[in-house]
Amino acid sequence: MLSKAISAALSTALLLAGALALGGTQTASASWVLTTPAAPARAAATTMPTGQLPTVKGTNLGVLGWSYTVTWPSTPTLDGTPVTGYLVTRAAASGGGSALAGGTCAPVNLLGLGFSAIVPANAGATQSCTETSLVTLGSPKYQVTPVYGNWRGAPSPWATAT
Amino acid sequence: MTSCCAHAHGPKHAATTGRVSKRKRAGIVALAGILMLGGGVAMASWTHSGSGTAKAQATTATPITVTPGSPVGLLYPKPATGYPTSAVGSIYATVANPNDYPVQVTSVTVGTITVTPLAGRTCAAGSVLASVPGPMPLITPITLAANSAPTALTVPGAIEMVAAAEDGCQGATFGVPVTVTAV
Repeated sequence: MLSKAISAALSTALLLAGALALGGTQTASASWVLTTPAAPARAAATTMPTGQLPTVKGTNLGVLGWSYTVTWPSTPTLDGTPVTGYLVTRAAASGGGSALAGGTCAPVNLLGLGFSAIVPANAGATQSCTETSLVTLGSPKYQVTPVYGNWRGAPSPWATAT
Repeated sequence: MTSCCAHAHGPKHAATTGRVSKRKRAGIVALAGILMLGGGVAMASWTHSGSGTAKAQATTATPITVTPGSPVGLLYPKPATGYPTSAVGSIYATVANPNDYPVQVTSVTVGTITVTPLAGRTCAAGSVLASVPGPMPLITPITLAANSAPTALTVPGAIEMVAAAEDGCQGATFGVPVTVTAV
C-alpha cells in the first residue's frame, strides 16, 4: 500500500512538473520581444507668432521734446509658454524720427536708427513701453517683434504716433 | 498441493506483476515529465536567444513595421521651467504588425535626430535631443492585432529642443530614428 501511495505521489508530482513546464513555455512565449531596427519617426518645430499692431500715443513735453507711449496686445503663447519679450523698433515716418531718444522701449535711440532692445514681456494681455524723444525730427513710427530666446517672430506692421 | 501451491503462488506472482507494472507506469510518467520539462527548457531558451533554429519550431517573429507619421509642429526651445505639456516634444510614426499574432508596443528608443530646416534657414545638428536616453516606456502601450494595418503611434515628451536653439530652427522638421519594442 505504501509503495502504491509513493508511486501515485511520484506520478502526480511528475505530471505536475510537466504541466508547469508547459505553462512556463506559454509564459515565455508571451515575453517575446520584437525590436525593430531603427526606423524614422517625425517631429516638427513650431514658429513664432507675428507681432501685434501697436498703438502709439505722442505727448508734447514742450522744450523736453515728445514722449511716445507704445502699447500692443500680447502675442499668443508657444503652446502654453509665453514669449520672453518684444523688440520695439523705431523708424522715421515721412522724414521724421528722433535725433536722440531714450526710455523703456530702447535705451538709446540716435538719429532715428536706434539701438533696439528687448522689452521684457509681462504676464498681462497688453504690453507697453515709453520713449522720450529729446529732439524730434517729425512723427516716428514703431513696430514690435515678439522674442523667445534666440527666436524672433515676424514684426508687426508699422504704427505711426497719433 | 498443486492447487495449494498454485493458489499460494498465484496471488504472489500477480502481486509481483502489479508492482512491476506500477514501476513501469511510474517510469513512463517520469519520462514524460522529463520530456515535458526538457521541452519547456528548450522553448524558454528559444525565447531568450531568438535563434534561427528555435524560430523554425514555431511561427516566425518579424519586427513590426515603422513608418514616419505626420508631425504637428509644436516643438520649441525648452523653457527653464520645462514644457507646460508633454505634447510639445511628441514624435509621430505609424506601426504595423506583420505577424500572425497580436503584439503590444511597449517602448521606443530615440536615436540621433536629423534636422531639416526651412529653405534659407539654418538649424544646427544637436538642437533637438531625446528627452530620455534609452528606452522610453509608453504610458499607454499600443496593442496591434495580428497582421494589423498601420496604426498611428505618437510618443509625447520623447524629444526636446535645447534652450539656445537658433532662430532658424523655427518650422524645421526632424527625422527621429526610433527603435520600437513590442512584446
